[in-house]
Amino acid sequence: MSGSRRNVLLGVLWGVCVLFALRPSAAADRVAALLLSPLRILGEWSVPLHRLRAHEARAAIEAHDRSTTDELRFSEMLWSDLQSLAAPKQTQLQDDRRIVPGEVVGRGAGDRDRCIVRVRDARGIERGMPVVSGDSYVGRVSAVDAEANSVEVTLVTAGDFFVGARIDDGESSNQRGVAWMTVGGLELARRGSNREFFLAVHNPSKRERDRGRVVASELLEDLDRFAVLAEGFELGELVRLGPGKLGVIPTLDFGAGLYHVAILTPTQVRAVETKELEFALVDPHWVPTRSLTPGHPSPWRSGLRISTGEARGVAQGAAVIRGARLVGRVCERGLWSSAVQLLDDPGLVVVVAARLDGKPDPVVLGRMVSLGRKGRAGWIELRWESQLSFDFSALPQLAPGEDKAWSGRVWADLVTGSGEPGLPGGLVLGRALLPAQAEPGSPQLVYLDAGLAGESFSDLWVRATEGEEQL
Amino acid sequence: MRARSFGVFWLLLWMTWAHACSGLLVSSLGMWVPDLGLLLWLGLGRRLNSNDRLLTTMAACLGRLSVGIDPPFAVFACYGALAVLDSLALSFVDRDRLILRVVCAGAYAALAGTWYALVNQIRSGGHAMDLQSSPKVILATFCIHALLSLSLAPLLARLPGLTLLLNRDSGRGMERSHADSMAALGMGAAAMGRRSR
Repeated sequence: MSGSRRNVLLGVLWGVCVLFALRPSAAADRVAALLLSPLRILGEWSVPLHRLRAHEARAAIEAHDRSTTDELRFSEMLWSDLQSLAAPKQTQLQDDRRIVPGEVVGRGAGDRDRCIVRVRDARGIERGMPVVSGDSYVGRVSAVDAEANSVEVTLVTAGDFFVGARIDDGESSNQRGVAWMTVGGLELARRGSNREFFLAVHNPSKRERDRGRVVASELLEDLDRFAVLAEGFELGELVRLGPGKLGVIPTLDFGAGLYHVAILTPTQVRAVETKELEFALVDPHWVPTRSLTPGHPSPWRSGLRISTGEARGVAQGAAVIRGARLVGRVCERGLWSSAVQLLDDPGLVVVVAARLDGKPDPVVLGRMVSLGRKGRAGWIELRWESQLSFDFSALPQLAPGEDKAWSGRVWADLVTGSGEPGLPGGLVLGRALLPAQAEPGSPQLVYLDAGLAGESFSDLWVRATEGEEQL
Repeated sequence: MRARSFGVFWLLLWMTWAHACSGLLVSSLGMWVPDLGLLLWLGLGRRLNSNDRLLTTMAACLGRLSVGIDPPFAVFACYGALAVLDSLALSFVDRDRLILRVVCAGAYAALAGTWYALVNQIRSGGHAMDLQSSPKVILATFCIHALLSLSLAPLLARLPGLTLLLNRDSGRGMERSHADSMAALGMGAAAMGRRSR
């Protein structure tokens, strides 16, 4: 090949690389990762370098191992508490219904308004059954996969979803004077200084009513045989968004705060499994692995490569753990190795639940994005864009100290929530300082002490789609 | 031919270890960590002809990809751009110019760091880059690489096995440039000593 032709070819290849680096394509990334799979051999060459830091790591590992049993117990307890949050609390919402617990394990392909829910046994669950979380309405079952024991749920946020509703003002639903409406889909509007999402309201029977608690209530029960099961579950608070335009402030964070749900079935359906789900840490979907590299060779990012890849069922976004603690998530996988973003890698996304000091019930916080290790003592800074209002100001707060950013915050233990593929709920993230108050759409900073530093990553486990060995 | 194959083997080995060493040093040096793979690539680049520079660039990419987590396309694009920039720089200025080596090493490292951060920023949906501390990290990257390009890069290029890739002429050129840089460092130290007195 002549020199100029070679240069043109190299130029084109370089252009393609720039394009795919800046406009990521899942297919192109996948092909590149597969083609580069043999690099695992080069990665193995760097393993001896770990020994240089073995003495440093030993102390950290020993300290961590002492707390592992406590963390496992804490993690399981919190996960169980999160699961029980999904069951209806009010007795009238429990009556005449069977409650099937489910955990959100992912979203529909390219569709955030559909989520995949795993259940212990999908037998007896049918299309159209209502899905709730606590006393709040979530959506309906739209498909059932009995073999995989999973169901697809269409959320009330979907554009093609409609549920009958009424303002709950203490009156019976069949009395005259009740304000009826249909709720479904999303409405983006400004409230105060923030732009927020509201549940869209259609055809309200009384346009002048713009306040009150909105609950699901189907007028046409003949059309939907499961409609009666949804009666009384809360959709949110009615607000006026503009002239002639109403919206409902949702009680749930449908975007990232949907971890555990309950599927409601009639009491006549006896085949359904109503037992609690198995804790993900003890299921067989974990594969032992080890880190191939001592760390990412740049101060801008934080990550490592592990010795397990697609050949053993590792998927994109899979959790990598040590004990009950989340170490990071797989961001790229080859056949025999994978790249892992550590918790302090800027851009890593986790869904989070918390147990706050002074508050026994866990709290669903939603999505957080890591901004890296910063500030005092190398704590990790997380950006939290809450979709709901939170007020923890009644809890014990950190006294004003030398660091203004930390004063007035509340302590909490953070664990992962559910809903992201490959990232099961209940994995320990660490001790954190949360803001005492948060408003929807206004980003907040959370400071996390994740404990383990990157140098001590041995005895790792990675979540696989098809597990082979038990943790 | 066999000697060259061994040379390529050693090149891959050292590139992987150089990047892995940087990964090892990150936790203790933070933003002052040198990209040893880049320094090795720079050190070798001055010694090799254009055909071999493609090989070195490829080896640098593979070394980084085998231990790092940056997307493959970003790494290939980065080293590709640096290779072009380096060729351009060398076509305008004498390759043994000390100032060229210092500025280029600092600038390449800063550009590469910024590029990887930008790619991560885009891929993570705009949350990854810390605009407040970025200039500090870029400056630190520039300084440490500029400094080490004088002393460490030529030494890295002399690692065992890499001489199998060299041709005689460029090897001699390298010896001269290394001697120059050592002399410059010595003169600099002497000048600083005089000033402090």
